[in-house]
Amino acid sequence: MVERKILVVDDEQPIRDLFTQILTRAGYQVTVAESGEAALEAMRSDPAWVLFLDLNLPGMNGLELCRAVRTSWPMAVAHAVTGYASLFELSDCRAAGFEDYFTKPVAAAALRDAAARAFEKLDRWKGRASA
Amino acid sequence: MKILVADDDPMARALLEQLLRAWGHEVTAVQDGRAALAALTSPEGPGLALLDWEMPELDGPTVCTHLRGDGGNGRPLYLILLTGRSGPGDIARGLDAGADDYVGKPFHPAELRARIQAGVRLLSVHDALQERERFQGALELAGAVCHEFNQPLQVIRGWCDLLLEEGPESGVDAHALRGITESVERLGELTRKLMGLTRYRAKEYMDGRSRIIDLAEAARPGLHAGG
Repeated sequence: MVERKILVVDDEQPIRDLFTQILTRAGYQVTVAESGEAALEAMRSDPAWVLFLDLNLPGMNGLELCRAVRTSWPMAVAHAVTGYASLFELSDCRAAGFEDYFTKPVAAAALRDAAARAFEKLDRWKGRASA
Repeated sequence: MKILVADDDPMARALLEQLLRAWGHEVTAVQDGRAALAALTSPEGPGLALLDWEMPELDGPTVCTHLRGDGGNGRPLYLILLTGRSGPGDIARGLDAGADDYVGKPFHPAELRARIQAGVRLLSVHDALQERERFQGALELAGAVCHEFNQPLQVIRGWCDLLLEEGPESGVDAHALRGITESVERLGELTRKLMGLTRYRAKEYMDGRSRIIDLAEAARPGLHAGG
């Protein structure tokens, strides 16, 4: 079973606090970052398997961050969570390597379901690799 | 199309008025340059003008120069000079003064009509471009509104979800929390509609001049429902 580590990236503190609560209460270990650059730093020191990324970040945007994460950690499962869907096309998000895409406001259950599905998939892949 | 005719010769003015009306235009006729300038700088004034070169007060080229300079009010105008002067130097001077086109006197009605049509086409392209710019502005505003609304909506929605999980023994008012959650969902739906704006469906609003985007018409469903 892969470690239940999740990285949440959002430039707004209240969102980071909320997502941390939603996911830690479901049993996940959550780290947060407020920018793409900080997120990559966090991944280098303690990689997470599942990520929730805001698309509209200062500096490096969510798409660039997703590409960078998927290049260095190809097994990581990244989800886009955005306040403004039309900022990027859905096809661009898929091309950047996002697993799924949510528009805020998203329900706590939807985030947890996405995390559960991602870890289930990761466990399946890991089981196959070690079989 | 609203067209201004400026000519100090009553015969020429009458002939032009008659022709333009026969071609379906709405005509305002004046007899000097100053009146032409006043008509063309009024907000609801004509967008196309036939200006005689030789006029009392201000001549045709001077009217053009004023309108293209600080004297204009930014409204798109198509200016045609009418004159018996047909030397290459005159034509260049007229166009340099700010005229869009030039028709020699005596004019041939078919030619005048075709040149007016060219002006009408150009003005309608200008209108379409302006409309598109306004639409673009509306879309950008919609995007900014979505983002600014959805961040706090997310925080309210998420904490309501977490409070609801705590169950009745914690003393939270589940009924109140569900009311808040449903309201947040409604606002969330509204922002998703805004995000789904792909085409401009405007409806006449209030005085018929301002326009608002008709959300119900313009929206398509969002990609993911929050609930």
